Amino acid sequence: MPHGLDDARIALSLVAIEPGLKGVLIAGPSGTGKSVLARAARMLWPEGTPFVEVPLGVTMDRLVGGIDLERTLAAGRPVVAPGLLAQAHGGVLYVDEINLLQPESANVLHHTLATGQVRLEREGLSETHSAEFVLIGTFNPAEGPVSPALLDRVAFIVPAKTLKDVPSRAHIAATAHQSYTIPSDVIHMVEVGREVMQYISVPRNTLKELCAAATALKVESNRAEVFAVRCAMANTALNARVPITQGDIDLAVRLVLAPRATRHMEIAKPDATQTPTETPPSRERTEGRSSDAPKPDVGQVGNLSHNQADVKPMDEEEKHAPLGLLREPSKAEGGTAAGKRGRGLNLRRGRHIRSLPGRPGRGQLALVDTLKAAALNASSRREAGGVRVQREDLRIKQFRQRTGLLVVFAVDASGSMALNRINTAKAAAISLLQSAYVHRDKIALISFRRDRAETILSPGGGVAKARRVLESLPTGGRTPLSAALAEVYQLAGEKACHLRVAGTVLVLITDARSNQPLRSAPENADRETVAMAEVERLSKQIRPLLVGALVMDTRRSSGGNGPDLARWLGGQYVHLPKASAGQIAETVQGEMAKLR
Amino acid sequence: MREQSAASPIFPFTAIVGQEEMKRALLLNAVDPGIGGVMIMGHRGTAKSTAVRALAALLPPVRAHEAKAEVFIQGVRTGIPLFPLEESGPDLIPVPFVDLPLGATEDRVAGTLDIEAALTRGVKVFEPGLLARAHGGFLYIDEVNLLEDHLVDLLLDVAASGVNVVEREGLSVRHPARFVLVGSGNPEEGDLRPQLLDRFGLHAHIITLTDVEQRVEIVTRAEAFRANPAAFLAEREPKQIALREQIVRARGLLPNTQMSHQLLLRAAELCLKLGVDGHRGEITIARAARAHAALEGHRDVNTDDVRDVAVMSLRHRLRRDPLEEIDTGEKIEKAMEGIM
Repeated sequence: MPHGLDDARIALSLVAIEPGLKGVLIAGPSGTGKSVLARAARMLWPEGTPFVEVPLGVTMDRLVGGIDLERTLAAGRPVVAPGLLAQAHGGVLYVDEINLLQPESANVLHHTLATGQVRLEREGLSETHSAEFVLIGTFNPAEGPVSPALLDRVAFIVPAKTLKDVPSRAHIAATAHQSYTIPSDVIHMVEVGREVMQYISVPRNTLKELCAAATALKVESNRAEVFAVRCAMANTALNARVPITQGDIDLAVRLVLAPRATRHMEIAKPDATQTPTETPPSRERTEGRSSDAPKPDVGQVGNLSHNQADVKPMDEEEKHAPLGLLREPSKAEGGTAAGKRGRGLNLRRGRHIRSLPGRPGRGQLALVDTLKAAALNASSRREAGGVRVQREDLRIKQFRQRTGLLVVFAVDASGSMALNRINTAKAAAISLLQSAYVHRDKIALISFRRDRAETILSPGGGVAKARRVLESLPTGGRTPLSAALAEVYQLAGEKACHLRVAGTVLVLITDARSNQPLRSAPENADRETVAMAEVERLSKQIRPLLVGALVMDTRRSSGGNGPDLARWLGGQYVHLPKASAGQIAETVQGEMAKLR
Repeated sequence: MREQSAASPIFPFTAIVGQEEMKRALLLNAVDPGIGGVMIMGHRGTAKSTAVRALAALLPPVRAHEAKAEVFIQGVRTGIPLFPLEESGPDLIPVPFVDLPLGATEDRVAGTLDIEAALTRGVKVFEPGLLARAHGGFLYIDEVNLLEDHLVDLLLDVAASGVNVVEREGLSVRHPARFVLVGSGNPEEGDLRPQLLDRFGLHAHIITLTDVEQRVEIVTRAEAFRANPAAFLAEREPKQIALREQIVRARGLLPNTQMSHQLLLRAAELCLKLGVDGHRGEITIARAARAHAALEGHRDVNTDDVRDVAVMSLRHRLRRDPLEEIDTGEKIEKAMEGIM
């Protein structure tokens, strides 16, 4: 019976044989049983092998190790409690929804995979622990990508698919109540495979074939072919035979190289059960052409339009709107210091920046700093004997959370925009991207033309990628402004939450001549009128999601819909018919500065 | 804490396939640390970390007392070595190599109050941090763009001044911290502040090798090393020794190298033509070209030396034009055609 997790099962068996494959990431929508399989995979390792699960909210001290409170107080000197990474040494580290891991935690994770050691250099502690483990992770690509650095460090990124044929679905439904176990014959094959592995050698022709495939698929890493070779070897071992067969090579191409392809190419044999195009979206591959966020389908957009009643009447809100174009940003949570410098500082989460005097009720106790203060104060108090911690010695941790803004550029690439104006908009976008790093801003780029809008740069991409997508940006066709706004709605809503940014700013570069509605216009209705009505509705929906908006009108003459559009979005209108890229970038930066 | 890296075998520098620009940039810094470090930009999985670690392991050992420094407390030279000498054991130690962990906190980087001494003996003792440990060697930051800004600023300040100043927890300590700062990054991951880029002496670009023969060689060597590190190291030893001796000779030759006035003029002309702001461009070219000449075994810097270091010295100092489509490296090569 075929199963949506077939590839995942193979990959897990292979990594259980050859830990040098480093790990398996299983990508798929919820309800495909990927987490169940991942947890069951521990049966593939001998009993007693560590299997450590990392919760999403894991703190840095639990991950890399930190102070052992009880033993430190008893011993009167810092005693380290090893973290989860060190506990997984020699075994398996499992992370459910690995794409939602805090960025700092993901960084430490990929670094540990690289070095096999976890280095603890925190809060006065300095130790090194061995941490060689196999990483198993699951994620739902619809909820955001996995850090590319992490993808590069494991051999397998495999899909968990929803099956499309009725008998298989029925089989799954019928057996779903049984707790999932790995068949004993598979466990046996893996055990034998570990023994066989040492006898497998790789002929030069096989190496050549795999390396040629990596080049043909334009895989951007020389680590991938090392993984591919190990994968072919492990599959040979799994099947307890020598030498390596063409089937082993094909499997390595399909499971290791194809998901990292930056160029499509039919490499897999036709008899392979899955074609490379069905492999899960690796970030490198999808971001260029299409968004990894699900496209708003017609039903969703219909929803938007029907929710019109939820929108406050425009005029009422208008009266209270501040005169400046950008509304006040939401205050950072738990902030201790107001104003520019204090942004992102809080007592609850983020990175531990420093410790402040304070009672533990207000935040987390910073034990080491408390002890330091006690020791220093004790000598001035001239206390005899052991150190006693007084109330004034207590220190709590202050954290900083990265709080840049999400800047969404929506660039009109329709035929009514003359080519040189599009080039100006492109240049402005790139120059703003370059300055985004300073403020930890995330930039997203939407282009819209003909009948659709597309996120061509997902939030977080760099200048190199932006330039690549912008260079090949097609232009011409009608102006689907409402489709663009629907895309903005997606980014500003769901995405912005995951990105943990302070707010979203929209920069819309267009001549505002919307003439392509999202929904087909009714009989004998004017298409432009319908399109503009949509734009008005959507703008008002988006408005509460933004902390600022800027409409850059590139229309030659004055007038037109630009000023209305800016008003609906609650943003600033700038008429820049002959603006240079530098002027646009300067204007946006000026407005952003007011927000910080 | 003792470094454990000595225990695990390190992939030999001479066995790294391709990536000549990165290797040359690292070697130049090994000859003359004054060049100011190197930033390595490029795809993942291209042996960046391997190369830096391998270089430190290749270099001849340093005297322990040279790697350790003296502490100034409240501005007064105390005569206390930064690390107790008996702790360091033998007189000669491997070149320090510190791989900055991403989760490191500022107190561990700069150094802090020794809490054990404070608690048990009630005395203020400075516990040196990673900057002290890197003194005389290399400090490597993988994925600089992922590191917290305040730590990057601290590292760049110390790397430039060669002195670490700690003012915290009632301590006032300064100690020398001279090391070669090596950073790596991936341009797709997000960009680096231009001010930050400019502080690295050289800027090397690396890309995934696409030549099939080279790729096969990478896999073959990686697997051979994994299967039997000792045998692999033994096999490479003659090449390692030859390169080590070349570096030692170059270090000796470096003070005697010279760059003619005419060549200096041409380097300045090149920077002018490319619109490089400031004077770091030609200063770096001159320094790197002398190290290059020393490495090649001659005293007088020639045009080839300058040509070989110009791209990596200037790449990160050009004004960035958002509409520019050609690679900055090509642009520099082109500008050189007329001058060199």
